[in-house]
Amino acid sequence: MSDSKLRETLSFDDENMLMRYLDGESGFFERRAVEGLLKSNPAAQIFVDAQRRISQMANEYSKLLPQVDLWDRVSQRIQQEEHAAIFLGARAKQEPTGVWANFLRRISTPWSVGLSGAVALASALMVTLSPGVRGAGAVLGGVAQESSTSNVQTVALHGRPQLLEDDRSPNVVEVDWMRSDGRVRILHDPNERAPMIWVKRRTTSVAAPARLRSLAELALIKQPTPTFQAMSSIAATE
Amino acid sequence: MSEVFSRVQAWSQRVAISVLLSPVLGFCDGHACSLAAESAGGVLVNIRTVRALDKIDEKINETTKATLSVDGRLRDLSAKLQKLHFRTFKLIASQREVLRFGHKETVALSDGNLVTLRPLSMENEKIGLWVRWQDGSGMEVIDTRMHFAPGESIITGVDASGDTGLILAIDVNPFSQKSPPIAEPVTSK
Repeated sequence: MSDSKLRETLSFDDENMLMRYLDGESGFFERRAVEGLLKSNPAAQIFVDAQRRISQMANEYSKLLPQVDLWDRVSQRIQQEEHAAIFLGARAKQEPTGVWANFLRRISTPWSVGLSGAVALASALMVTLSPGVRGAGAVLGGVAQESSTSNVQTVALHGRPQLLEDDRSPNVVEVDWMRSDGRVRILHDPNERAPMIWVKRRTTSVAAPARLRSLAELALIKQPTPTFQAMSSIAATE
Repeated sequence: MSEVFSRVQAWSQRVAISVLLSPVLGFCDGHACSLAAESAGGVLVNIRTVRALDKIDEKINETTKATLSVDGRLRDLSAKLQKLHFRTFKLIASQREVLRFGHKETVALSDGNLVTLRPLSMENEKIGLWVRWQDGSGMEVIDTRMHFAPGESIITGVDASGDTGLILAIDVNPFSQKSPPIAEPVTSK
């Protein structure tokens, strides 16, 4: 009997049980059942051998890929996020809207959620301001990004993702996130290490709620130093 | 029988204690310990407030733009400032603060501007800093968290009234007890 004919003698449940056995996820009784199945049914042994070969091939193939310890960096950043959350509180999650959001919701199986989460996290790591990047605005020395008019601004910059630890130059600015009530521009010059951030006001005021929110903080702020009081009066007379 | 029972009881107590303390012991491991060590130190933050005047058309050519007037105390920033669409830059005020890691400090600047800073970490030769700048009208000019090399000037500006702009140049350096004494704040001429 050919291998494919033999495979047909295995039920779907048997295959699942054998997969769990190979992954080391079987319990005591299931291991005994698998051992019995392997002795009694040659198809089970063929199935197990085939799975082992595939696993071996996958391992060999993965050795050919460049070794990028991305997970180490991801875990490091998660740790940073946790520490930052202690001081800053949890990040507010903004629900996406539009066609893409509906599409993403539709494909939200557990696998896709895990995958998209990993991709999003990896993308967040890539938001670096590389000094070698020059944008389109020649007059202003290169505008790397001009955000849209949405309230929460995402600084998505044109830059080569810096994955490798050895590649990471200390002379770059990494931005985790950036928000503004205005329109944000990142002005960049390849000769300078840090970019400049310029904010343009919007024509309509959106700041009133922010002002109310900050009243509690105003009571806690540090009083201006005499120098600053003097400067304020100078500024007022200007 | 009672001996076996007491042994089991002692073992279960040890397990319970180790389970309860493991998060605490784990917290003092690696990154967290370095963070705790850093919290004993801090950073020296220098905030320079700059008034940008004489707004120029963004379409103007480079030769006309070359006639810049930059305050002598902003010489280190002149290369950056010349990229902006203003001709004149005056230092309004300068303030230095020593901030501890993890501690938030709000600094009141001129015209009701408030800058809140919180140094977060010092990792991979980079300082992690949370910056929030609110102007006199309550507008959130910028709210960001970034990591940058010590000594680097982070320049953030906003269009102010008329044809002027307000710029903040924030320099952050690690600070320890061995650091030189803080100089007196620079004032406007």
